[in-house]
Amino acid sequence: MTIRLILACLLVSLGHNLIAQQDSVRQRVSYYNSFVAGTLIGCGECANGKDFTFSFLTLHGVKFPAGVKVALGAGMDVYNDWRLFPLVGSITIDRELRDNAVYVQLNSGYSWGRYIYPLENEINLQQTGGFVVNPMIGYRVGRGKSRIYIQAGYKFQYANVSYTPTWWWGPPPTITREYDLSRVVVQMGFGFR
Amino acid sequence: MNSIPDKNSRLWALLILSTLLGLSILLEGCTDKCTETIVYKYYEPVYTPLATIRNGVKHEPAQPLKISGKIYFKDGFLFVNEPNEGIHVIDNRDPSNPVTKSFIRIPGNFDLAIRNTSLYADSYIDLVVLDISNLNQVTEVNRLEGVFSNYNSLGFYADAERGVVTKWIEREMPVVEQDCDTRFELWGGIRFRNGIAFAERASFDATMALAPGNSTGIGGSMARFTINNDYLYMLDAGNIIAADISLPSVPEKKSAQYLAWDIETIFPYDNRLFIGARSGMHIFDLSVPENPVKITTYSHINSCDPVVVSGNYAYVTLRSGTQCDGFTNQLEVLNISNIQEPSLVKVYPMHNPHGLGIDDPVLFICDGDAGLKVYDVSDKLNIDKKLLKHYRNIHAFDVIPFNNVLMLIGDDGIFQYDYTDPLNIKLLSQIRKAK
Repeated sequence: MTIRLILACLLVSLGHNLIAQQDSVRQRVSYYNSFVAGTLIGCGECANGKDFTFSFLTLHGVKFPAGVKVALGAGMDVYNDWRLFPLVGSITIDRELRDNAVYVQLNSGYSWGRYIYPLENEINLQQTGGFVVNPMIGYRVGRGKSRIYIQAGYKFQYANVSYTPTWWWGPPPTITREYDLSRVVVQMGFGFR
Repeated sequence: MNSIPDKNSRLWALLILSTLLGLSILLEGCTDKCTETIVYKYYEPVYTPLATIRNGVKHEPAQPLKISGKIYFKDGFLFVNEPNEGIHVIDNRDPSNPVTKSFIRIPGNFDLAIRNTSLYADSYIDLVVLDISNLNQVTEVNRLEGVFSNYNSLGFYADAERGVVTKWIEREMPVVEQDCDTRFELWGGIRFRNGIAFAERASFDATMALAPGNSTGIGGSMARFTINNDYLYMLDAGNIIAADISLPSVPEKKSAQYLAWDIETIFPYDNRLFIGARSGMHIFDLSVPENPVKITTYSHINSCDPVVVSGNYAYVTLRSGTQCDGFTNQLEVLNISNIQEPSLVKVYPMHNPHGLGIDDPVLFICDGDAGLKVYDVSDKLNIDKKLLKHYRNIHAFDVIPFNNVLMLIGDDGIFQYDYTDPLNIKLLSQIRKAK
C-alpha cells in the first residue's frame, strides 16, 4: 500500500514536471468541473471472483495558468459491504495546450460510510468511513468549453464498522471490522472548461 | 532550458512508474483487507488472602439493609444476612416497631444459625462462632478453618496462596482475526483461561456468584444451616457436615458425607432432616446425630425446591429459573406418615414459588412476582380453594411464621405481619432496603 502511494505521488510529480516544460503560455484563472462515472474493479471475497461496482465523482474547482487544476469533489463508491461517499480535494496536472491530451490527477480526502452487510439483531451499530486516496491518469478530449474524460487509476479507502450482537450467549462482545478497500478504477465522463 | 534527452528521460520515468503502479495493482490484485477485532467481555475472579478474610470479622454500628439475605429469629431478635457482607441485628421484641441495633461484618457470610448465645456463621471456607450474649459487643470466639472445603465461586476454589474469590470484575479481551469470515456460533461458546461468562449479562449477580449453593434464607425454608439438639448441620456443596456444638463455643466437626451435587436446603423436623435438592427431597434419620442416615429419597423433576414439614405432611415448592433448571412452578404436598415411602397427595400450580413457611394450618408461600400467598391447608386436597390472603405487591423470598408474627424478607426489605386472625392479616412493620 505504501509503495503504491509513493509511486502514485512520484507519478503526479513527474507528470507535472513533464507537462510544465511543454509550454509557458499564460492563461487566466477559470472555473472548471467534471462529472465522471465508471466501475471499481477488485474483489471483497476473491473466491467469488472479481467485483465490478459503480463509482461516481464530480469535481468543481479552478484552473490555474500554470496548468494545475485544484478542486473539491464528492462522489459515491459502491462495494459489496459498503456504500462510501467520499469528499476529496483534487489536484490535476493538465496544461490544455492541445484539445486532446493526457493528464494526471490525485484525489484524496475522507469517505463517509454506510455498512450494508446484513447483521442480525445488532445494537450500538457505528459505521465510519475514513481516508481515501485515488491517483488517476486520463485522456481528455476538448471541444470549445466542453470536455470528455476517460481515466483509470487506483483507489484505496478505509472504512470501519463496530456493533454488538444481541443474540450472544454470554456478555455480548463488541465486534469491530476494519476494511482496507483497494480497487482499480475506470471511469469516463464530461465537464466544462 | 531543458534538453530533449531530459524530456525523454522524464517521459520514460513516467511510463516506468505508471507500469510499476499498474503491475503492483495487477500482481497484488485489488483485494479488500478486512481485520476483525472481537472484544469479548467476561468476568474474572478476584482473590482475597485468607489472612485478610480471617481478620475481617467486626461489630459495627447499624447499617442500612442493601440486599436481602437469610433471616433468623432468636429470643426477640432478628438476624438478617446481608449476603457476602455480614449480619444485621434487629431488636424485634416489638414487631410493630423493629429497631436496627448493629451490624456484624463477616466477609463471605451467607448462612447463620444460633444456639443459646452462640451464633454460627459461614465465612467462605470457615465456620465462625460468635458470642452474642452481649449484643452491644459481639465477639468472635472460635473458628473452624476450612470446614467448607467445597466452597467455590463458580468453580473457582479457595487456594492457600491466593485465598478465596471475593468478587468478580468485568474485563475485556480483544481477539483479532485477520479476515472477516468469523461466523459466531448461536450457542455463543466463549472460552476463557481466566474467567467465565454468563447466560445474560444482565443476569450476572456477583453476590450470587459468590454464594455457596444458590439458596437464600435461614431459619426459614431455604436454609443451608440448621440446628437439631446438640448438632449443627451444614450443607457444603454436595456434602452434609455434622458438627457437635454441645460446647457451644467449641464446635467440633464430626462427619461429612456426600449426598448429591444438587442439595440446596435443609429443614429439621421430628429428629429428622429434610433436605431439598433439585432432583428431589432426601430424608435423614438423626438417631445417631453425628452421623445422619438416609431413610429415603422422593424424586421429582429438576427444579429448586425448598421444603417445610408439619405433622404427616411435607410441603415442597418447585420453581424454574436460570439457576433452577426445569419449567415447573408448583406446590407439591407429600404424605410422609410412612417415612420410608413418601407419597404425593396433590400438586398445585404456582407462579414462581421461593421460600415457604407453615404454622399449621396456615401455609405461607413466597410466590415470586405473584406476591405472598396465604393458604389454609386443613384440607390437603383443596388447598387452592382456601386462599386466605394474597399480597400481590410483595416480592418475597422467604418467611418465618412464629408466634402469630410472620417475618418476611423480600426485594423491598423486611415485612412483619400479625396473622393471629388468618382472615385478617395485618401489616405490623417494615424495614425498607436502602436505595
